[in-house]
Amino acid sequence: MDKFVKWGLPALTLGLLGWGWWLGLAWAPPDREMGDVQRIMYVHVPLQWMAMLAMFINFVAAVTYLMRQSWKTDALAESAAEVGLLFGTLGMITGAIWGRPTWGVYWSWDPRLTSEAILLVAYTGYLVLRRFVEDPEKRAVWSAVVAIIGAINLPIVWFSVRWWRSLHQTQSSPKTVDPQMVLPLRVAAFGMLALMVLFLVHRYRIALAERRAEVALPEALPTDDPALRAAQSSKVA
Amino acid sequence: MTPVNRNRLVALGALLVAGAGLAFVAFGNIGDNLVYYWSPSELLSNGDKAYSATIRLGGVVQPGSIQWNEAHTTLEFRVADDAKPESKSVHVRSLETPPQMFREKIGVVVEGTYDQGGVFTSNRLMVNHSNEYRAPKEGESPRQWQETLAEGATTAAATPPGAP
Amino acid sequence: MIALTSLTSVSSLMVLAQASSVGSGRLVGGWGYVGACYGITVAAFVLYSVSLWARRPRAASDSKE
Repeated sequence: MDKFVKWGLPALTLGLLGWGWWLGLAWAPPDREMGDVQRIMYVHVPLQWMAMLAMFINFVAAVTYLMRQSWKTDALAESAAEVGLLFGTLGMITGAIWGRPTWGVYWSWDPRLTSEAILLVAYTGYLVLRRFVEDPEKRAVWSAVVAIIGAINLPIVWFSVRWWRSLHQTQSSPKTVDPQMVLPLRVAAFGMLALMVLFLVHRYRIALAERRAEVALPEALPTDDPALRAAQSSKVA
Repeated sequence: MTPVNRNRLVALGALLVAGAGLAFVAFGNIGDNLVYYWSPSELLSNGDKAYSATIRLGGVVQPGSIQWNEAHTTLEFRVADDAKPESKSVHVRSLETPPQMFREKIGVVVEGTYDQGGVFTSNRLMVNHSNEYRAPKEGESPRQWQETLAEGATTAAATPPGAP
Repeated sequence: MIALTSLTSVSSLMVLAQASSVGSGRLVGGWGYVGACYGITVAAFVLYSVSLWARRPRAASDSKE
């Protein structure tokens, strides 16, 4: 597992993203109307999908933490929020750049863009809250509540283009996208998934090490002994 | 109450709040109060309410209605509810070069004011792309498209190429 | 409609103008936007990777060194 994370996952990420983006930038045809600008899809859409997936992982981890306390799920929630915010911010930037030549504007307060902005602000708030609470246990509980309530933004963003009139188009499906464009999008999306998992694993290790250092501070240095770890987490619970 | 049970209660409460919030957004009539744009028929039926405030009008560019004056960069067209020729439409005047995607039957959203004369003066013209992505049809390679566009530009001496 | 009332020469000029830029409905060029999107994304990924590396847990046995 460790070896896979160290070598396999980066190689998979580079391979899939490189292949997908090569397909998207050089192999796939341009769009009939958008021309070559449509190629932004192969970076914008996977970014947004992975942002939503990471934020969903944050939600699941937050619920799991409250159900059964463990520093692991707390660390996972923190990591997923940060990675999701990174992908979501990039998704918004690439979307704005895409909007300029196609819509004619970088930004408009349409329901999709507005709800996406609220989503990013909510997850920024979540991470700021975590910074400000010193007590690890209070921080974990409070931020889990914020994560659960903040997660309602995810379906709102997703369905915003269906529920309300917007400038942003509704979701595409393989029926509305030519197969030569679906393939690069799929490959790039799996590449982005590999990258998201890679970032998540490394960020999780950092967060978990921080938690253990915080919790173990008065007694001893953080330990990697599973037995001691179990004893520690049960003590906390 | 043990901390574990307290946390479970907290989770339940948070989930309930989140569910209620989501249901409120999804099934409440927020959409009626936060309308991103009006359709032409809504604008026409709203009468006085539509005048003088800055509003957005959204619809489809009516086929055959585009009037573009390159020298003065004035663009006039009609925004209709849909692409059918008989559907209700509003006359729009814009003083800027529209996005390249602008054409007949494409979705647009214009921001501006509607006056008593029945003309919508647009400060901002946005083109609304559909969720369809298609390769060019047979014999319609985009490279050729660029060439024909460039030719068209050189033939019309007064018209510099619109492409960047 | 209004086109019918305008002069023939003006309308023929407008047809040419439409063919070249306005009303064609085709986006031409724009590789700069594509480059910006991919460039910003890759740059941000590299920066984030560096930040993860800088924050790596020192004591852990599975550190990336």
